[in-house]
Amino acid sequence: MTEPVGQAVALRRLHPLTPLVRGAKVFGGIAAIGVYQAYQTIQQVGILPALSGAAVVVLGAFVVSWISWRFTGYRVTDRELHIQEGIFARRHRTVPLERVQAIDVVRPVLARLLGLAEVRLEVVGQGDTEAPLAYLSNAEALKLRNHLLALVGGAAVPTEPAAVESADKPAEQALFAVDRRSLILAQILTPNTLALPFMAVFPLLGLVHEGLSFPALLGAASGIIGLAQLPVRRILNEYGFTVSDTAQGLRLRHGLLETRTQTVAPGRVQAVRIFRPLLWRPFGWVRVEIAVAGYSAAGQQEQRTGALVPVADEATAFVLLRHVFPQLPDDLSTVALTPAPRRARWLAPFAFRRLAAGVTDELFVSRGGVFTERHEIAVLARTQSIRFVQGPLQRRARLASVFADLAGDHGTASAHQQDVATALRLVTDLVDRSRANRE
Amino acid sequence: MVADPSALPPASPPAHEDDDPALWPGDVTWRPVSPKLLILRRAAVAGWLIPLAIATVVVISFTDQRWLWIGVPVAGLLLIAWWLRLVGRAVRSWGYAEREDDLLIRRGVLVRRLTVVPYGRMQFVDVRVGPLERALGIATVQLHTAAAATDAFIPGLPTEEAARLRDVLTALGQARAAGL
Repeated sequence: MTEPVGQAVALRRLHPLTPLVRGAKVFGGIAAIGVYQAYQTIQQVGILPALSGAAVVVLGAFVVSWISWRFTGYRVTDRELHIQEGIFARRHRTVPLERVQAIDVVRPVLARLLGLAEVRLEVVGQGDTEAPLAYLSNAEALKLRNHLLALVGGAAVPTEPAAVESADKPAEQALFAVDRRSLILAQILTPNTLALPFMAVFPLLGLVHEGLSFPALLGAASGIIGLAQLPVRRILNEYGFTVSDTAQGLRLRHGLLETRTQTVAPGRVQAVRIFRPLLWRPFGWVRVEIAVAGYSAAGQQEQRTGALVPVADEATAFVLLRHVFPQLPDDLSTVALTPAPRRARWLAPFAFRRLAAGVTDELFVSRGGVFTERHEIAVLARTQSIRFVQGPLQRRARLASVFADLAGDHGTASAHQQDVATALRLVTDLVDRSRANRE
Repeated sequence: MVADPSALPPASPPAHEDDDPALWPGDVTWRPVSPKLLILRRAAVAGWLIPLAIATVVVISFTDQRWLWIGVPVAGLLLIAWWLRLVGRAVRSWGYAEREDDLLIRRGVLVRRLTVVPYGRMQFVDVRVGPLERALGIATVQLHTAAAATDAFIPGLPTEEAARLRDVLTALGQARAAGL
C-alpha cells in the first residue's frame, strides 16, 4: 500500500466502535423494512428463512463496516486534512484547511449512547464536498475540532494536538439558552402547526369512509406526519439550543436526540434572515437564521438548522446576532427601504405591503413575507452574483425582482416586485457597492 | 387589471424587444451567441413536436369528423410557426458583455433575466459540449460561484470563442480572486 504525502504524522484510526454504529444503521434500516413488510414476507417464505435472510444481511453489514473501518484513517498536517478510505478502490482525499468554512461535531443518538461523535468539515464549493469523520470518541472529536479550528483560523499552531486542551471548555462564556417552553409554544404558533388540524381532516375523513384498515391507518398517519414534520423537526433540532462565546467564535449547541455543535467564526456570516411570525408578535419574539459559507444548499436531507436564535425577544436576538454580524444596523427600521409600488398588489396581493428593499453602504436589506414578516440582510462584500428577473406578468406591470446570491444555505437575498427603474438602479447599486466593499 | 392607467405598458412595444438596451442602464456592448444555437433549439422543439404530430394524426384517424382533417393541421402549423418565432427570439435574447470587473449575461423572452458575476467570484468555469453541439461547432460555458443560486451560463458559443472566454475568465478569476 503506497502512502502518499505527509508521512510525518501517523495515520489515525477512527474509533473501534465505529463498525458497530455503522452496522447498526443497516440493522435499523432492515428493521424498518421488516416491520413494514414482515407480514407479507413471512407469509411468502416462512418465518425462519425471512429471519435468517435478514440476519445474513445485518451480519454482512457489520463485517463490511468492520473491514472498511480497518482501511479508513485520517491525518492532520499543518495545512491539510488527509482521509483515506475504501476497501477495493482506495480513496485518498485531501482537504485543504484554508478552504474549510465550518467544522461541526455531530452526535447521532446511537453514537451518543456509546460516547462517540462525528466531525464534519464543510468546504467551500458545491454539493458533497464535505468531509465527515465518523466516528471518534467524544474527547478526540473535540480535540480534533479545536485543533482544526486553530489551524483554519490561522492561530498559533500547537505542535501536539493533545496539548490544545483536555476538555471542551477553554474560557467559554454562555450567552444564550433557549427557553424550552417558548421553543415549543413558538413552534405551535407557526402557520404549519396551526394548519395541521384543518389538513388532518382529509386523512381522517378517508379513514371514516374506508373503515379502520391497516393501509388507511398508515395513510392517515403518514399524512399527519408529513404535515407536522417541520415544527417537530425544529423542536427536535433546536431543543436545548445554547450559544456561547469562545475564542474561535460563537459556539452553538442544539438537539434533543441527535446533538450538533457548530462554531460560527466571526466574519463567516454571509447573510441573515429575521423572521417575525404573526402569532409571535404578542410575545415580541423573533427567529434569526444565518447563512454560513460551506453549508451548501445542495446539502443532504440533514438535521441541520440555520438558526442562530430559534426564538427569543428581539433585543436578546440582536445582541447575539451582533457578535457574528457586527454590520447589523442598530435599528432595522432606520434603514431606508424602497417599498414596492402599489401596483405590485396585483402580483403579490398579500405580501405587497411588506415588500421593500434597500442598499446601505455595506448591506442589502429586503423585507417580505405574508403571515411571517421576513427581513433578509446580505453582506455586500460577499455577494457572488446579482440577478435581475422579470416574468411576463411583471413585465406588463413594469415590475421586476432582484436577487443577491451569497454562499451558504438560504444565502440568497431577494427584492421582489420592485418598479423596473428602481430594480435596475438596485442592480447597479448592488454591483457597484459590492465591488467597493470587496476592495 | 392595473388600476393606475399610467401603469400600463405602451400599447405597441418596440419592434425588437429582444434587443432592448434598457435592460442594462450603462454603456455596454452586448455580444450575441451563435445563430447555430437556433438550429439546436429548433431541433429540440422538433424532437417532441414530431411525436406529438404523429400521435395527433393517429387520434384523428379514429374519428369521422371531417373538419378535424383541416382544422388540426392548420392549428398545428400556426402553433409551430409561433413556436419557432419564439425560439428565434429566445436565441436572439441571449447576450453577454465582458466589463472591467464583471461579466453580464442576459437572456429570456417571456422571463427576462440579467445576471452579473464579478470575475473575482468565479470558482471555476465549465465548457460543455453535447453531441449535437459538437456537430454544430458550438459549446456552453458555465460559471460557478460559491453560491448555488448563481445561474450564469452562456449556450451557443462558437468553440473557439468558448475556449477564449474560458481562458479569459479563468485568468481574470485568478487575478481578482476574493476570499469568501
